[in-house]
Amino acid sequence: MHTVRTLLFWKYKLWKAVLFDRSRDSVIRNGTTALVLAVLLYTAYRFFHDLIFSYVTGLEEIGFLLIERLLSTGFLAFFLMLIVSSFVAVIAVMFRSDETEYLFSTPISALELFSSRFFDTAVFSSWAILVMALPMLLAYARVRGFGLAEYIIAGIFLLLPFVLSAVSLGAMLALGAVVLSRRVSMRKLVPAGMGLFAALVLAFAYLSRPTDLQIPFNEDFRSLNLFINNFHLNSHPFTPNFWLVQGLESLVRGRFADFGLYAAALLSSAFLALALLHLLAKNMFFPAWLASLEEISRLPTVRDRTRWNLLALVPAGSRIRALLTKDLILFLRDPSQWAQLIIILLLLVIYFINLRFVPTDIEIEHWRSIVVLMNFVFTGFVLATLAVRFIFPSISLEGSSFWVIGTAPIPAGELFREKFWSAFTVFFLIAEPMAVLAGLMLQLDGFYLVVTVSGILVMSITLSCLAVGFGAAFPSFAESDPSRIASSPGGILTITVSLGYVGCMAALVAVPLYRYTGYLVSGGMFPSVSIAVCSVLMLLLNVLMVFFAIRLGTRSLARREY
Amino acid sequence: MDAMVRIEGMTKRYGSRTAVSDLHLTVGKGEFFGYLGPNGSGKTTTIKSMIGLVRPDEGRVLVGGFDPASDPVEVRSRIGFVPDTPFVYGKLTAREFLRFVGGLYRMEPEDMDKRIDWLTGVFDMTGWLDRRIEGYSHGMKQKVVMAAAILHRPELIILDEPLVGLDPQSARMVKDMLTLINRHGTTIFMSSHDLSVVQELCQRMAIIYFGKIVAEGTLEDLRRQAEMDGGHLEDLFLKLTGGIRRATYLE
Repeated sequence: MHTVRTLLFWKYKLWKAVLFDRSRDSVIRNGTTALVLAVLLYTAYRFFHDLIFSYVTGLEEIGFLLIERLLSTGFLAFFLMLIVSSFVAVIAVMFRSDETEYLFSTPISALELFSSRFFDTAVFSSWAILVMALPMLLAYARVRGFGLAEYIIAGIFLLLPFVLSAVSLGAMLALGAVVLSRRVSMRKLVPAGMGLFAALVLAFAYLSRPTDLQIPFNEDFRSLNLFINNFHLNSHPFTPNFWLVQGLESLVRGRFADFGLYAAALLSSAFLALALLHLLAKNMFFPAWLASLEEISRLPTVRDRTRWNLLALVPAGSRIRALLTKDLILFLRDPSQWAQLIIILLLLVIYFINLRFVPTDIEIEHWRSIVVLMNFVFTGFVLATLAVRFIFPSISLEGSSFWVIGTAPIPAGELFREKFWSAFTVFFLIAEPMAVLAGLMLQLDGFYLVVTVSGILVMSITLSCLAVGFGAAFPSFAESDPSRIASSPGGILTITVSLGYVGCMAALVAVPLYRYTGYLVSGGMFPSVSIAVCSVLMLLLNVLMVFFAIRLGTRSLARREY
Repeated sequence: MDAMVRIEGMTKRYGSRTAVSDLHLTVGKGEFFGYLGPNGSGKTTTIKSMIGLVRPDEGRVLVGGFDPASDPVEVRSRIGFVPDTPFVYGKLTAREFLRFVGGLYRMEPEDMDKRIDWLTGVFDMTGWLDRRIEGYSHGMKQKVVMAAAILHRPELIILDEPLVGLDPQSARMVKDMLTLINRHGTTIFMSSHDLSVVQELCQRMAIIYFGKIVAEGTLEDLRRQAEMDGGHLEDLFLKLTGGIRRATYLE
């Protein structure tokens, strides 16, 4: 225990030195990060509070039930993201780390080393997700009139065990995966594991019974009632997100026996997960670490030139082709990269499962426009998240090897174009089918479909450009974990700007949608003026953002000193 | 002799610290030039300014007649660079890495493949060519980086401590290779702490100390400047950089 305390103390000193560095550059950097983070959190808080929760609580009878479901959906996503984030962080921090190798050469037991590094991992893998969850939680607490005591009780008895359960699960999965990799290569293991995980989640989604939540029948909310009742996955009584949300509800309503039950469910799950992790780490961490070293020496030879030949067909110069090929091979050979992509795609599948239950025979036209707008905003949010998570780190991930590109005769603009096109192609392949599929599932008519599909195409271009530009301007070459790069000050700035942009796009889409709905309901003139004005504004916004991103990125690349 | 590298009054500051001050240096085409100096004396800053990875605050640098600060692509297409630490993409194989570098320099695929086969044969890496670099030793990685620097037939090769981590056989082979390509007209600029290697290979050399050139020329020129009648480059280097005085403290 003394050793763990010593290690944590020095880790604390290290972080204190980074965070409270009084040099001019650090003060500016840390101050800007804090400011941007505060603006981001406040904006998100106002968004949830003013635009969603305050509005929804005004809906008679179903308002709070709807909030419960929204919170539950949000926390299900956070729980899955925490598991994946912890899985990746454990692989990066505990296994592919010089620090671990050095510490294993000192007289520290494997369990002590694991315990100290697990703390590190838990903080790193959860803080960014918790920051994302904070505005939603605070907005909820505000509309529910939480006092200081409720904040403290909810934090300790609900949120903390919720996070610990997810992080421990992720760590256990990572340990198991590395041990198994002695027999099966990581290349086969990770997709198999992720496939199994995906199959389990999907099976759970299809087979689980919805809770017996019944909203009193009301003709105006008939369709909505049906929609809410069909949210299968996110309201299952055996999921931690359900316990968390029900715990919050019980706390606010003063049902302390119920609160105790849900808190006990979360706490016992967290203790069980930690106990299992302790047992696994005690017996498996050192063998797993050795296995991870052996894996490198067992790597097979590669004579596959198919990728080179396929990429020869890409209509680009040899420099861009060389960069594309390198990026593709590095991505394919890094299981942690595509494991995360799979999990994000999985979240999209869950979204589509829920979308399947949205009633398409909505008679109130305004509900239809709200569903269209919510789908647009959700897609924008997913794209912004994907951009900061996968595109923003692309230049940083060149890492110590960036000198190869830095000393090669490649103009900054060409490097920017390669990073943009490779990112945008993937984005296009994910976002456009998603937009079309969502449109078809919601049985949207021509105008709604055109707005959704074209809006998402434009957002894909601009968000890719922004992520490449900010990634070039704020690289973290010393960092090899993409999730840490994404949560660096530059990453936070990127997500802030991207979400602000998505918000502007949503506002510019909402006006013509609202006018068009009014036209369908009340008749009158087709709203061609508002559609034209908003289209021009949208075009201006996107041209401005793309120009800004290209200028920022290419200037940073060209002027970078090493 | 035409100049391959010309540095005119270069000064570079990092905050309040001056890394290089009013530096003047000329390296002729086809020369094998050694660049010596203690740690932190400004060697790496000089090298980076030649590649365009650092911009001088004052003065200018010309490589092959082009300024790396304003024309980095022209300069970089003429040079090959070997850094002191061979960081390369571990997930690529040596063949993939060399093909990647060849692509960046716009080499023809057939020519590139021939050169890769030849270079990996010379560097005795054939059995490792299709294995991922993350499984290589430090010396093997150094060979990959060296092969990448030579692959596109550069006019100037800049080497920063090229022999660190190499076993004696590989070090000999690298020295022979550098001598050979220098004989074929390639200019070589080598920064090294290994004074015996510089003495063995370089026609001219310069010693930088606290950001200023304290001696430049052939070994004989340096001896004259240090007012020494004979002796090894090491003695001369220590005298010019104050090392002997420091060593006496140990006694």
